[in-house]
Amino acid sequence: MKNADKNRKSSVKQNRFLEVWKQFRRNKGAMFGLIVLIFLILIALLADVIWDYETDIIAMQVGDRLAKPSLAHPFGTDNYGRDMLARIGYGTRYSMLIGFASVLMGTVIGVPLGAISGYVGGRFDTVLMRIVDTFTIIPSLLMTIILVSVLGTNLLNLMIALSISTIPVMTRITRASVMVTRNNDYIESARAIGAPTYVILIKHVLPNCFSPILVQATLRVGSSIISAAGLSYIGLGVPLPTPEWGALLSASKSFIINAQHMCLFPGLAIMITVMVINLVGDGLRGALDPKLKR
Amino acid sequence: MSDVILEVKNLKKYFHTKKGNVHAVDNVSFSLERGKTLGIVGESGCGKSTTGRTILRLIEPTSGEIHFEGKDITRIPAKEMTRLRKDMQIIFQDPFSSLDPRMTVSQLIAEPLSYHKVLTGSGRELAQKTEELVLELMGTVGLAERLYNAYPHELDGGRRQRIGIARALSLSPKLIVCDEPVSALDVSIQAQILNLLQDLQKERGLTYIFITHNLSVVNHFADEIAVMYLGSIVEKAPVRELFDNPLHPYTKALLSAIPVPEIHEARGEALIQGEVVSPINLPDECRFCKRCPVCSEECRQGVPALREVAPGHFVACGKCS
Repeated sequence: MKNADKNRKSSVKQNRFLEVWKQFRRNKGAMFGLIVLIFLILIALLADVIWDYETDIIAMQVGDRLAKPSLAHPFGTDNYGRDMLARIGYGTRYSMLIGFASVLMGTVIGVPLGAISGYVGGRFDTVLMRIVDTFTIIPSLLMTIILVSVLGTNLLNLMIALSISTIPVMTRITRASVMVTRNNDYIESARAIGAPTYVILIKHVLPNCFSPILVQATLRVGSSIISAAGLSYIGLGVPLPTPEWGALLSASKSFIINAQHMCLFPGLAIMITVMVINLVGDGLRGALDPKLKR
Repeated sequence: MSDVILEVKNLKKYFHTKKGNVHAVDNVSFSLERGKTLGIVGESGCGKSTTGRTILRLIEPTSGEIHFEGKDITRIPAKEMTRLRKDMQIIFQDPFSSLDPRMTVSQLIAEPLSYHKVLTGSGRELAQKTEELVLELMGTVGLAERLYNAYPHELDGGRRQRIGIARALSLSPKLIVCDEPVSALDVSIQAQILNLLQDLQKERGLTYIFITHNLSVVNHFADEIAVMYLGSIVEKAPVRELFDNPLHPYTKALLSAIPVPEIHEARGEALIQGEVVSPINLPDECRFCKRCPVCSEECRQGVPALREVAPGHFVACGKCS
C-alpha cells in the first residue's frame, strides 16, 4: 500500500508538463522545429548584443556593394554594402515580434468571442457572426493595407492591423469547434453534476477545441510574417532602413539580375521561420491530445 | 402515505422543428417511491431518454410538473437547480463519449466534489481528503487503484462505465437516472455493471429510474415498469404483473420479442408490423393505431388515457380491460 502510494504520487507530479514534453520529444520534425525556433528566438533577443545597430546594420560601405557571399560576408552585401547576414539576423526580431504579437492579440480577442458565440448562440451569435462575415469578405491583406493606411505606417500599427485581420479567423474557427464540442455527452455530464456554465466553457469545451485553435494560430503566425513582409515590400510595413525581412526583399527587387543573394536569403529566412513554427504547432497539437498517445 | 421521492405530472417536451412539433415526451405521469426502481422501456426514439433528461432539467420541459421530495422543481431558477443536482444524478449510456477525454480517472471522479463543496479544508488538506474520497469511490465501484492517473481512452467500456457511476455516486445522490447504462457494453460486462448497480442500491438506499430498451435487463432489476411508445406511457405495472399479464398490444409485442435461449422453443409470432410513425404533429387518435392488430374505429376517437385496470396496473388502451 505504501509503495503504491508513492508510485501514484510521483506519477501525479509528472503528469502535466512532463507528459506533454515526453510526447512532443517523440516527434522528430517538431523537435527539429523547436531547436531552430529557439535558435531564431535567441538571435532575435540577442540581436543588439551580436550586432551594433549603427555600425553593422545601417552604416553604408559603398565600396563593398552587392558583394557575392564570401567568408567575410556569408550572405553577401546589399546595394549599400551592408552585411546581409547582420541585417537578416537583426530582422529576426521584427518578424518574430510581428508574427507572434499579432496572433497573440488576435487570439486573445477572437477565441473568447468565438467561444461565447458558439456556446451561448442566440442573438449574440447572429450579430457577431454578421460582423465577422463583413470582415471576412474583405481579403485580409487588403484589410491590413486599409488599416495601415488609416493608422499610419509603423511597427505597432502594423501589428494592430494584422491582429485585427486575425480576429475573425480565430473567432470563426473557435465558434465552429465549440459548436461541435458542446454536443458531446461529457458536456451534458458536466451540466448534470452541476458545473457552472463558465466552468464548462473553460474546463471542458475550450481544452477540447485546442487543436484546431492551436493549428490555426501557428498557421497565422506564419501568414502574419508573410503579410508583414508583403506590406513592407510595397512600402506599407516597417519604414526603411529597418531591416525587416519584407523590406529586405523589397530592396532586392532592382538587383535581382546581378545579386540574387539579396532576395534569396531574406526569402529563405521567411520560409524557414514559417515552416519551423508550423512544425512546432503540429508537434504541440499531437502532444496535447491524450488520445494520440502511443 | 408512502415515501414518494419523485412525482411527475403531465410532463411534456415538444421540440419545435421546421416540419412541426416533435412530441418527444407527451403527457407522462408517474410517481416513484424512495428506494425503488422504475424501469422505462420502449424502442429507440420513443422518448425514454428525453424523459430522463427532462426530469433532471438537462432539457427544459415544455409543460407539466416535476416534484422532487415534495418540492416543485419544474420552474426553479438555474442556480437552485444546480444545488439540487447533488441529489439527482445520471449515468449515461455511452461511457466512451460521456467522459472528458482530457481528464484522468481521478480528476473525473473528483470533479463533482469541487462544484458542490462536499469536502472542506484548505489547500493540502483538501487535496488529501479529495484523494482519499476518490480512492474510496474507486474501491466502491471496483476500479483498481493503479488506474488513478489513467485516461478514459486507455480503459475498456466496463471500466469507463464504472467511472461514470463513481462520478454520479460522489455526490451521494438520492435519485439516479440510469440512461441505458449497459447497452453500450458487451454482455459479460453488462452483468457486472448491473450487479454493481444493484449492490449500490441496497447499500445506499438509492432510487433508480432505469431507462432501457432491453426488457430482460429490467426484469430482475426494476420494481415497476413503464412502457413508452411515441412519447407516452402506454402501460405501467409492477414487474411481475407486467410480465405475467401484459395488456397493451405493444407490451405484448415487446415481450414476445425477448430472445429465448432454446432452439426448439416455439416463438411467438411477431405481433406488430411496420415502423413507428413520425412523432411530428400527431393526429388525435390512439398513438398505436397504425400498428395495432386490434385497432378499431373507436380507437381513433382521441388518445386513450391511462386507466387502472388492476391494483397498480395502468394501461392506455380502449380495447384492454
